Amino acid sequence: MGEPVAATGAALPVLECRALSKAFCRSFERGRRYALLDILRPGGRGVDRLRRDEFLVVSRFSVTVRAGENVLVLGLPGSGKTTLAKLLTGMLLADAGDVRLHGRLGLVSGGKLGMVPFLTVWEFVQLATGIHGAEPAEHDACCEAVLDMTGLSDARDTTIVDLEKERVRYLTIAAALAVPSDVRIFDGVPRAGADLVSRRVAARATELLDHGSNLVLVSTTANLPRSVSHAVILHAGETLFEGGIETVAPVFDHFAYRMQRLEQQKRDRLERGAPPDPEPTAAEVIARAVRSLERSRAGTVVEERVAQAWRSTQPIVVGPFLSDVGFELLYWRPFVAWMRAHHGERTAPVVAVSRGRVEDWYAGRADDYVDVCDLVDFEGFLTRNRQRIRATGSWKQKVVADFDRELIDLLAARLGGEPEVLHPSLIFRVCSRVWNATMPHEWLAEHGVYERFPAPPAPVTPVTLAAGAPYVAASFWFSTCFTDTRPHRHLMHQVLGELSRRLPVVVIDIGGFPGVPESLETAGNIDIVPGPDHDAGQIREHSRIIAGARAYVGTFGNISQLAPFYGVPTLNVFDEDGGLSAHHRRTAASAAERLGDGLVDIVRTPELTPARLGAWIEQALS
Amino acid sequence: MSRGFRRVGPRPSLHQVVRLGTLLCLRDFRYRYRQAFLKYVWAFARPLLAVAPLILVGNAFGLGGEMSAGEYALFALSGFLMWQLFWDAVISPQWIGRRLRRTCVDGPLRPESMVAAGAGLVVFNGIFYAALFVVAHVLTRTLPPPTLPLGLLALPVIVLGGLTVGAFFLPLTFVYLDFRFGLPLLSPLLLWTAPIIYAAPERGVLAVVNRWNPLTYLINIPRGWLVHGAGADDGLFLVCAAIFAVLSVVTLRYYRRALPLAVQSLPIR
Repeated sequence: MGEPVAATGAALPVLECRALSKAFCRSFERGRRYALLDILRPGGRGVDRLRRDEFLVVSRFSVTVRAGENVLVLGLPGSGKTTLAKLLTGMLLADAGDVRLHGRLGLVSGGKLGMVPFLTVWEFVQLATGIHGAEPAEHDACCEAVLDMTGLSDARDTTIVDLEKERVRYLTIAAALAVPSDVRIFDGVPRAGADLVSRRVAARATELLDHGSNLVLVSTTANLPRSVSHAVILHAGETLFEGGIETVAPVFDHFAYRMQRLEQQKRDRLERGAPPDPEPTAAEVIARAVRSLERSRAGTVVEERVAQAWRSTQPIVVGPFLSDVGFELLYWRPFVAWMRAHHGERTAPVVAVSRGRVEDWYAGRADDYVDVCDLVDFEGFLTRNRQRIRATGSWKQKVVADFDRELIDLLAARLGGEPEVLHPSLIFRVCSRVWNATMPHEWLAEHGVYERFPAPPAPVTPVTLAAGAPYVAASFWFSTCFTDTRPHRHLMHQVLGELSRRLPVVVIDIGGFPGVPESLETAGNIDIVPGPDHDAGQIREHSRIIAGARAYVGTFGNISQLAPFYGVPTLNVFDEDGGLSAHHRRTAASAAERLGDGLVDIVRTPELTPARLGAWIEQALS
Repeated sequence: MSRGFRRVGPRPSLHQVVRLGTLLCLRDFRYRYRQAFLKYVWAFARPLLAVAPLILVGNAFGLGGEMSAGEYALFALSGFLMWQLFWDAVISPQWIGRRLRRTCVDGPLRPESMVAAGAGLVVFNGIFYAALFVVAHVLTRTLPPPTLPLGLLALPVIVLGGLTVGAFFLPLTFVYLDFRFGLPLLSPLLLWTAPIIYAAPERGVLAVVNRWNPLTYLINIPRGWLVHGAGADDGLFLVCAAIFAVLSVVTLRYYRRALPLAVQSLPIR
């Protein structure tokens, strides 16, 4: 095994690959003919001349992994990462190039790896670790490690056919992680889910990544190893850009975003029957990303504006926040906390302004809290906020709108002077840069303080619950990332059914909740609480309901972000990566991690099987 | 652009390959026999049912020449079992490979381990063949000749010969199933072009064909060691063994290079 990253001195190469190339054939039939010719023809064929229908899936790829270092290869799906892993491990034969290995090579990837239902768990684990190259002397120890990691020690003699599918799903990846290697290729990095086994597997992967000597092939910049010495962007088998991770990761984010947009535009044009536009090449997109990153100073501008406000002797108004609850919790409130933590105490007060009477959220980070409904009446707030959305074209506070100015003026009159205003547009400005990948996502993590909220008093509603009685909170609505489809409705009813069988359920209807079907036997065990438009203090009430719940389940986004701040076990569901959902999920996952060891699970709907749902509920309510 | 590809790195030890081969073999057993009601009885039944009619017909048509019925039965059975051992070695890597196609795509399975697993299947069948051979000796009340140890030593050479042929065809069967479909057709051809269940003729076309068929030396000579004793042409077995040893080294190099190319053409992603 290589030395840990920090202890690495000489850093000898453990994997060297030079000008690796591989051609694939687009036509299956022709590809088989070529394969037969290549098999029967001795010697290498090279890739100087490609045959009909052939294309380079990996082209002159070079990389060196040194002992204790991690090298990252970032590439969109289909960019050639898995082929590269197979070429390096010898699962496929390269057409040109050199691979030099100085030690044992391991491959961490998924797949069934020869699993047949008639094998016992022990037999399969022996087979899987054997395929991953376990030496005979260490074989049994590796198998024991796999069983420990997957919690299957007690089921070693059980045949796989007699076990639940869920229990064996991590066996192959655990086998890959358990076999000692001098250098590893990670074709994707295992992520921790809600269950204990996936966490153990992810923890083992993190341990190996921290150790170094890995080539990590991934398609997103989420969940990267802590230490990366070199990063490469791979596209269509070619190295487009390389350098330090701090440069390559934001360039890749921008690249991925732009490529996705270009693909979408192409589809739209096709649907409209419009003629195709000339498209920039991938290299041009990368070049543009690099220029864009160099230009982007949004973060510095925001930091300077905050510092300037803090230097002033006037009160500071942070707000007014009029947008989505989820955004407030994931981005704005943590930024407010950061400002306070970073710049410290000041003589003049910091006044937080928001809606929904959420003063508890700002306790300790603002000296005072003013609710928008203390400045205008509730109906007036609803009407003026709708007008603001119409006028600015967005729910998000990307600019200081007339209604914002009106509120600031009212507040200034109340405070008696000209306060410094740190408007939410500051964070929206940065976020839009992060979302279009011209700023690194890390900026938000570095400029946000995530902390648990103090426990609020018990909620007033719902009236049917006895005081202090345990209950579960839920909130479902349909959106671009959880569309109104029959399977989604079925899933929602299934979740409500499972929950209400165990405990009373309080559903927060933030708008668009389709209701509880009469067919649900336990429908009487479900209360529905109206959304934020019901009352000026309704968000505070939602907050109290969630804080007092034993668990929270619902659509990802909006109010669902609140539960982790109260340490309430949370299960959020989503289906498609609609809008900015992927960015928010990444931030939510990072927030949950920083908020402590609460149970937070964000699950794509097809993965939420009845077994997984049942297991989650049992774990959350235990 | 550079031509060709070179990969330098540690190779798995023989022990590692044999161990993995054993595990793959076990997987194949589980897959095959757990779904069968008669389980391992098939391992006995298959060669027995195949050779019984041959012995009957061979006796009826005097294929044993001067041999008595009992002598011929022992002659034909032992020859057939040795030929079956060879043929099992040819065909078993294909069985193993066929069931491991997905695994070849999923994980870093060493190509050599599939051949080792094939060898495992042959050894398993060989145990049953040996039992049949002993029973045949008992039933015919024949004592094995003093050259019996030589015959036993020749068995691994027969298996190696079969595995060499099997390893050559395995990548090809991944690309085109025609090779898999065609191999069983080769079986009777090989069986009848070597003097396995008939006494070797001294002249005629069949004698010429026998002379040019390497199986004649690979099977007929060791069979002689097991049943009759030493013969005049026994040295030819060593020549044949040497040729197969060289071929096996060449085939192993070919096989290591060919299998990843074949995996690439599988309709599995």
